[in-house]
Parts: sequence; C-alpha cells; structure tokens
Amino acid sequence: MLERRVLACWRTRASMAGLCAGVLVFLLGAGAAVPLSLNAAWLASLAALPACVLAAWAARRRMGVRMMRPRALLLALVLELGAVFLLASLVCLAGQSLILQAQPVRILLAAFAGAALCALSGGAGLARLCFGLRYALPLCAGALCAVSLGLPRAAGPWPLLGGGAPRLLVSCLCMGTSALPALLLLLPPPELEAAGEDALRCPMPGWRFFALRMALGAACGAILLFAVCVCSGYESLAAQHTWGDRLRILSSAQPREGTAQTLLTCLQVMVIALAAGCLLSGAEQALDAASERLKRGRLGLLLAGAPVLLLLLAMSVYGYDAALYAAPLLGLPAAALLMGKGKRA
Amino acid sequence: MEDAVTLLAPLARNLDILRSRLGAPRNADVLIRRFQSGAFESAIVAIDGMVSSQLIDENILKPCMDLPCGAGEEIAPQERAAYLMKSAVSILPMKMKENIDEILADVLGGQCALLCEGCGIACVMDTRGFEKRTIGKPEVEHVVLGPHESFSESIRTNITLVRRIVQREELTTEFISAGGKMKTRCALLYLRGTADEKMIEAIRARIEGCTYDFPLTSGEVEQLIEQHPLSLLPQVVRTERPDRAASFLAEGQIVVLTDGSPAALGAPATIFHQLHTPDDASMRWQYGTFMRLIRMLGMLIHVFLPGLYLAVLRFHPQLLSPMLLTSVYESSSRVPVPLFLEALLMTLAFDLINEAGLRAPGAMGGAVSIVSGLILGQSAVSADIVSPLLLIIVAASGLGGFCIPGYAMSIGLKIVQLMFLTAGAMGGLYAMSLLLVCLLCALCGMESISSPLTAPLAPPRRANPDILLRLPMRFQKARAFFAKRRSESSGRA
Repeated sequence: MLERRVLACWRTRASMAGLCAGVLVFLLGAGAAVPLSLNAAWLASLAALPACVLAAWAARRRMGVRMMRPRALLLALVLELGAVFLLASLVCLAGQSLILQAQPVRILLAAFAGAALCALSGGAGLARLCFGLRYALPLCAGALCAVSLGLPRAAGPWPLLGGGAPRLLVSCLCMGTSALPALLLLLPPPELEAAGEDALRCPMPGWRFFALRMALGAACGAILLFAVCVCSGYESLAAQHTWGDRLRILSSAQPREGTAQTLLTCLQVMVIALAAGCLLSGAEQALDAASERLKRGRLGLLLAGAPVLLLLLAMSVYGYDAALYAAPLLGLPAAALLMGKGKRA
Repeated sequence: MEDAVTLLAPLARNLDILRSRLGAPRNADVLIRRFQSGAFESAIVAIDGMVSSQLIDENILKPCMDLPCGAGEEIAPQERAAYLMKSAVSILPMKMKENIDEILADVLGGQCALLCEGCGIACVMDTRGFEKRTIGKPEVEHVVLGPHESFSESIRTNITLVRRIVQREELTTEFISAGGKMKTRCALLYLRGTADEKMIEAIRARIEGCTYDFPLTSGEVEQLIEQHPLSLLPQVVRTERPDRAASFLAEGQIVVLTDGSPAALGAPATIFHQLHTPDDASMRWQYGTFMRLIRMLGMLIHVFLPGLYLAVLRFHPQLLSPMLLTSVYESSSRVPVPLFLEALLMTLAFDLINEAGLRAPGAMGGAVSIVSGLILGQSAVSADIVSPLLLIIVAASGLGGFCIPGYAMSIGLKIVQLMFLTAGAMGGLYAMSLLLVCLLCALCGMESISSPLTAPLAPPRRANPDILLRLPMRFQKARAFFAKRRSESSGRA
C-alpha cells in the first residue's frame, strides 16, 4: 500500500515537471526560437525532447542525494529565475490579448498574486493539479489548435525553414533550457516528507518513468508551438515583433471568431500561472532544505517570492525582453545542478 | 462532599452527594425514590421526563418491592445491586458503575441509577422514554426514486436505522462524549476490517479533544473533524439519509452521529462525494450518469456565468455578436448603477429571496417567491433598474445552484461565485483564469482526515468507476481508496 502511495506521489511530481517543461518549451519557442527561425521554430522545439530525457536521467541519478546548503540555495535561485521568466511571459501575453486596457503593473501584480497563491497551497496541491490536468490540457489545446487549422489564414501544415540551418541550431540550443523543470525532481514530494522515513525509504521509479513524463510534457509544448507557426503565416509571424504577440496562437480580428482564441489564451494564462506557482513552490522547498528554520510560518515562500516580485517590478520599468534574453542562460546552472554525483542521504 | 469520585457504602450519603450535584430538591426535575427491596433499602435516581415512568414502575420498582421481607439478607452488601439485577429487575440494557461523574452523565442522558444500602456500586439502566420525532422524509436530500426515510434527532433511533440496512457483524458503534462541562453524545459507526484504524483514531481524538461547554450539533462536530477550517468547501460529507450513511460504511468511511442532530457525517470524504446524490445509485447507470452531468453543468453555470457576463461585457465584447452587444449596451445605458454593482446587487437579491423563502413559515414561502419574483423581476426590468439579460443570467445561475446536491457545498460555491463575479469585473477573463487556477490548487492541496480531497483522480488511487461518471454495476467492485484492502482486512499478505 505504502509503495503504491509513494509511486502516486512521484507520478504527480513527474507530471508537475512535465507540465512545466511543456510550458517552457512553448514560451522559449515563441519567445526566442520564433524570431530566429520563424515558422521553423517548432522544429527547434523538438530538440527539447532529448534534453528533457537527458535531464530526467541526470535528475534520477541525484535523487535521494543529500543536498548541501550552497547547492540548495543555487537551486532556489534558478527556480526563482525560472518563475520570473514565466511570469514575465504571462504579463506579456495577457497585456497583448486578454486585458488590453489595463495598466501593465496591475497585470503583473495579478499574475504574481496568482502564482504566489498557487504556491501557497503547497507543492502537493500543485503537483496533484498538474496530474489531474494531464489529459484535459493536451485535449483542450489539441482541439483548439485543430480549430485554428481550419482558418483561412493558416500557412499550411509544413512551414518552411524560415531562417536557415545556423539559426535553427541556435534555436535548438536555446530550447535546451526547457529541461530546467527536471530540477523539481531533485526535491522529494512534500507528501513523502510529511509521511516520514518509511515513505522516503520506499523504492523510487526508474529514470524512464520521469523521462517519459517530461518528454510528453515537452511534446505538448512543441505541438502548441507548431500551432503558432502554422496558424500565424510566414508574413504575419515575421511582422510580430513583441513577445506577447508571438505567444498568441490564433490571431483574429473578426467579431465572435476570436472566441476560440480567447479560450485558448485563458488556457495559456492558467497553465503559465500554474507552472510559475510550481517553480515558486520548488524554490520555497529548496530554501527550506537549505535552512530548517525557514519552514516556520512559510518564510521560505516569502523569501522566494520577494525577489521574484522585485525583479518583475524592475522589468516592468525596463522591459520584459530582458527575461527573454536571460532565460536560455538558465540552462547552464541547471545543468551544473543536475550533473555530478553526491553523497547518499 | 462534592469531591467524592466513587460511590460510598451508605445509601443516604450517596443520595446526598447526588442531590447536591443535581441541585435537588430545588431542581424539580430530579426524581429520587427510596424503597424497601427485601432485606435492605434501595433508591432510584432519574430525571423526570427523560425516563419512561411506566418502564421504571413495572420493571424496577414493582419487582423490587415485591421481594419478600428477608430476601437478600445473606447477600454481602457489596453484591446487593447485582442481586437485584439477577432476581428482580427485568430491564435488558444495564451497566454497573461506581464513578459518580459517569453515573450522573448517564442519569442526565435519560437513564436511571439503582443504588442499594451498603453497596458502592450503582446499576445504570436504559429507561429512556423522552419524547422524540418520528422518522420522517428527508428535507434536503429529496429523491425521486429510492427510500424516503431520514434520520431523526434521537441518536439511538439513527443507529437502529443504519443497522437495519447494514446487517453485518463487523458494524461497530462506539459512543464518545464530546465537550467540557456539557457533554454531547456522539457515535462513531464503522465496519471493522474495512475502515482504516488510523482514521478512526484520528476522528476519535479530534472529537474527544473538544472542551467546549455548550451542546454540539453535527455542524460543530464537522468543524472539529475537518482539517482546513478556512476552506470554503466542506471536507466531510453530510447526509440525512440512512441508506446513504450505509453506503458510506460499505465504502470504508466512518459515520459520525450526534445526539440531537438529524444528520450523519461521513469521513473521510472526497469532493466527488459532494456531487453525488442517492438517486444516482437508484437509477440505471446511464440515467445516473446523465443526471450527474446535468448537475455538474448546473454547478459550472452557477459559479461562472455571472462573472463571465461581466468579463465579456467589460473586457471582451468582441465575443458577442454586434446585435446582441447593441441590445445589451442599450438596455444597460438606461440602468443608473454601474454594471458590476448591478450584477452584485441582483445576485445578492437572488440569495435574499432564497433565504427568505427558506426561513418564511411554510404557508408564506410561496407568497415570498411570488412577491419577490414580481417585484424584483418584472417590475425592476420595466423600471429600468436592471437589464433584462442580467436578470436571465442571474436566474440561470441561481437555477444551476439548486442543482448542487449538498446544502453546505452550495453555500460555499455561492461565495466562490461572488469571487468570480468580482474577478470578472476587475480583470475580465484574465483575473478569472488566475482565480480559477488558484482555487483549483487550493482544492487539490486539501485533505480530509489525511486523505486527499481530489483523490482518486489526483493523486491517483484505486477506486470504483463512480467518480464523475457512473459506470455499470459490474465494474463497481473495489472499496474506496481510504478503506483497507480486502487482503489486509482478511489478514492475507
């Protein structure tokens, strides 16, 4: 019985990492790969799949390894920066689509509040929600993308290799950062920590278990990016200079024709907020691992959330594109955290 | 004198202690009757109105007083109460007690205590005969098909109603006294070997840990059991139907009955328990599934429709057809209050009508509905106080709310509806999406007696295919995930 419960915990945790990976694939793809490779960005996003598999394998090797304080702090920092990137993209998307007339700072504060409240419910709640949505989200996204294929503006299912091979290679390198959510697997699910030593000592699933879920999540992100590339058309994609514009999957100015687009944008907003909450909660857990005292009164969440909010406020003044340029670099500390062998706990 | 914990040998002294504790003779309800029972003197202590006089007269007093003068002379004084039980008294439920607090609690609960001269042990007998309501029809959980019995205020009657359905040797009833000075009797019912012992222990500890000095209702016991006091949604499933309580037991849940409350609480519970009705099981699975889907649709309409209306009109007008939009703006332009305030007031007005109809005396309930329907509906529209489309929206949303099976759940969702209304007005679909994801996270993070509220869907647990949809009977074999597995309960590995 206990083994089954432990396995269920790891399933929800892996789903959480998979969902975050999918979101990052889409956001990095639309943010960084589309300007470089235009309609071929979805091809670059396929590079995220092996990156996720590799990261899951590396994370599985380090599971159960005692995390030293500097490593835990670095992990928290990387996850916080990941959350900043996700929230910045959320603000850009909402500001360009759902809530055009609102002040950007208000949009930002609402996005941060949403992610922080998600993180406040705890890692267990977030992971369970990610697991609960594992069929619903791809189905909804797939159905709405199918609607988009019927639009007359669609560029056709096989977009051209927009920017050429060298640019595509750079895009592929950028997409490697999508494997960052594998860092969440380094932290044990909170339910297991609460259940005690017996639960923590139960055997963990193999690396394929985590790799499959992360790769499936990344594949969903790639499919969404494919929808962006297909539905936007070569010329219109080239003309979309802002990040928020590129995140919109369907573009329609016709009355009532925008219903599918609005629904899809709502879905995107929910998933990005959820993923940001996951990374924020992971950062809190990493801070708790660094210092037991932070567990009291959820100080960890406060410490994880405050820099995120400050960075976002700074970006609201200087522009969110800074997050977009810095995001691919997050792959480096993430790789450092995933590599190497540690001392077993 | 009041410091005595156990009964003493002299009868007069014991009676003095009890008199003093119960405030007799000033307390007119206290009955103390001394009588000769064979060779020694005895006394009965009871509370007037709580006991059946006929039962005491015929089964205790008469047989004891009919004993010959020298009867029981050779019996040791300490054995006198037991002797009377053996040779005279003809009442089945009885217990021998010597602790004064326990004896007093039983006497106050409607039992009577028989004390004998020279004996430090009292015999407490169940002679309860107070007035109680007969078994009626359910007031909240109406069904079209299925049984029409409901619980009453008497805990004994309620246990009997459950036992009549669950005729299994494993069915166990544990009585627990909850509260500080004023105790309330609660009963824990569970199937031995099916219900999880840790959960039983957790519920028992939470109820026993209560020290409030007022009588507890089932609603208060529910608050003692629940893990998240700030949550808007109930974490324990409540029913007034014995057949539903029996199904909880079969699933492995623990049923808590409270004396004086016509409801049973089932714990642990999942969010899906709150969406099920007894009718689902009384009908064929196709009909049950269809009705369940209709209820869920109603629930979604109730929660989201007013917020969506505001969000679309204020932030996303492109989603409506130009003709409809023109008509809405035209009617809204005549209304003197802002759109959000108009929607908020109408939603609150609907809740007001609902509450008034519920609290008004039976004969006036219909009149309240008609008057409020006319005044707040037709007249408000013709006076341009509200727009007609908003009235339709609020009415459809209210109708959806009536589809929610649990009353507690429907109130919780009303608050959620207001939250979405505000979010829709403030930030359109963006704010509503963020609020939805926050609420879903909070829901998924909640637990009921350490069992996730959203299980078996998330996290995954083995379960009957009776969660959102109801599949045919032949698939429904497993116990709920929080129950012990069959192999565990039968002792096999």
